[in-house]
Amino acid sequence: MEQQSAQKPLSTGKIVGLAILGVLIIIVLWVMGGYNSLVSLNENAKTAQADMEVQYQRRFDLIPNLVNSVQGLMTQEQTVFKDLADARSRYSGAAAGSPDKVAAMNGVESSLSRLLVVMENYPQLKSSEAVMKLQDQLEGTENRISVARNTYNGVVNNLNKNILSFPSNVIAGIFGFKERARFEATPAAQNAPVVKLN
Amino acid sequence: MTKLVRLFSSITLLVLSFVFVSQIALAVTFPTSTGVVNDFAGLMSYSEKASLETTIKNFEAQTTNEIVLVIVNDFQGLDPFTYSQQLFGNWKIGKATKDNGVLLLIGPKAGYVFPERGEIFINVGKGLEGAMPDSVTGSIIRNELVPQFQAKSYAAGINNAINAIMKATRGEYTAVAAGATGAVGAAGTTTTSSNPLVFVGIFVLFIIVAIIASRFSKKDGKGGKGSGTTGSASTTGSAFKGGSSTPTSHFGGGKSGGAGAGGSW
Repeated sequence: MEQQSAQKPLSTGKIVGLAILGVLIIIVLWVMGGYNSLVSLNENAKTAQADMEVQYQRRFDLIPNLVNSVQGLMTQEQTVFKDLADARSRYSGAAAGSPDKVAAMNGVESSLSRLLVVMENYPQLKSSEAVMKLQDQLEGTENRISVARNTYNGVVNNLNKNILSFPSNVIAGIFGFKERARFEATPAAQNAPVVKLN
Repeated sequence: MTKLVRLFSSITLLVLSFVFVSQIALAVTFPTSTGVVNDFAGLMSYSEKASLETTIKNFEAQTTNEIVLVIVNDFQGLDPFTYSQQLFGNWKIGKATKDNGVLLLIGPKAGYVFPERGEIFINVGKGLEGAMPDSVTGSIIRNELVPQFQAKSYAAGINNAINAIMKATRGEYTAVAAGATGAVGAAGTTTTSSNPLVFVGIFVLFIIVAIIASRFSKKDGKGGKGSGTTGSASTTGSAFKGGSSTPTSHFGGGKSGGAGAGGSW
């Protein structure tokens, strides 16, 4: 910094002006950084949500194949199959993103798990490679769902912390970012399908 | 008074730098990998392991796919899938841009002596899910591993399984092609991209502070004030980079989405 020839102090006006400019720059940088962080976290949450729903759909689509291949061998278990079919229609009928859809998916999950448990009473199913492959796919889908849920909760955790902490909560309030609900296991879903065939 | 201000800001920055260095504590401790063949239970002989390692490394050289074998004595209270998923994430198997890793995990079955009885999980990275759907993985376990393990031919079973995995995943990626079908981008990144305007703004800020500070000085060297300010700027930068414990691993940084299948004997 070049100094003037004499040690002449800045006028009060100029100092105040510089200080105000400095404060304005700080505010703009802060708002910019905070808003962009929130946008990034929010988009991550939406992606994680979509990933979960992809897996739910996959599970949903696999069920008819499983039912077709085992129904003939399990003629005593009509109630189980009926419950599963009802749960599937409720899921199809519910509007995407609504609480009904979530409740319906929980219904599908618990009736599917009941079917898988009942299947363990039929050892002859183990000799059918077709049934085994379907079980691999269903178990694989359950595993992917659990990974997707953990990822989703982690992402939502980061988003919510940002929305709630000071001072980013100020920016969140101004631009309307809302907290998201974590995925919580329902009591019925505690018995998620555990497929162990021996 | 300015010396006090400088002292205070230095202390604040020092405290902040400790606050931001975080230690990631895992509930489960995972072993350190010894390479692509990790036999912590002594199921395979030295020569069997060496030959398998050569096979796997050749495969990686041709295809960039990373296959890793892990045999443990203890799943530490987790079920085989969960243990495999966490281990996969800890070691980061597969190339970072392709997620083309496969983890073959073998361990004890609860309530039984290992290795008379045990559990298997093959965890497939995101980039190989197409080549190895769960039904194929399950068939490999049922047909290549379980019968051999029941006959106590552990190395033979493992070699069969690895060959089957290589057969299924060959051709998905090649070492030469840089634009191979990649895995879906992860949603997990939470870092904000740095904006060049931010640096310009911070630079302008420090110029302003320097101007104001030098006008208040009592004939102290202007150089002293200037360098004091820039000194604290560089400390801020390094403190906020943050430190986290890096897992020990020789692998490419890839991810798994939970695909794969399990079985037991």
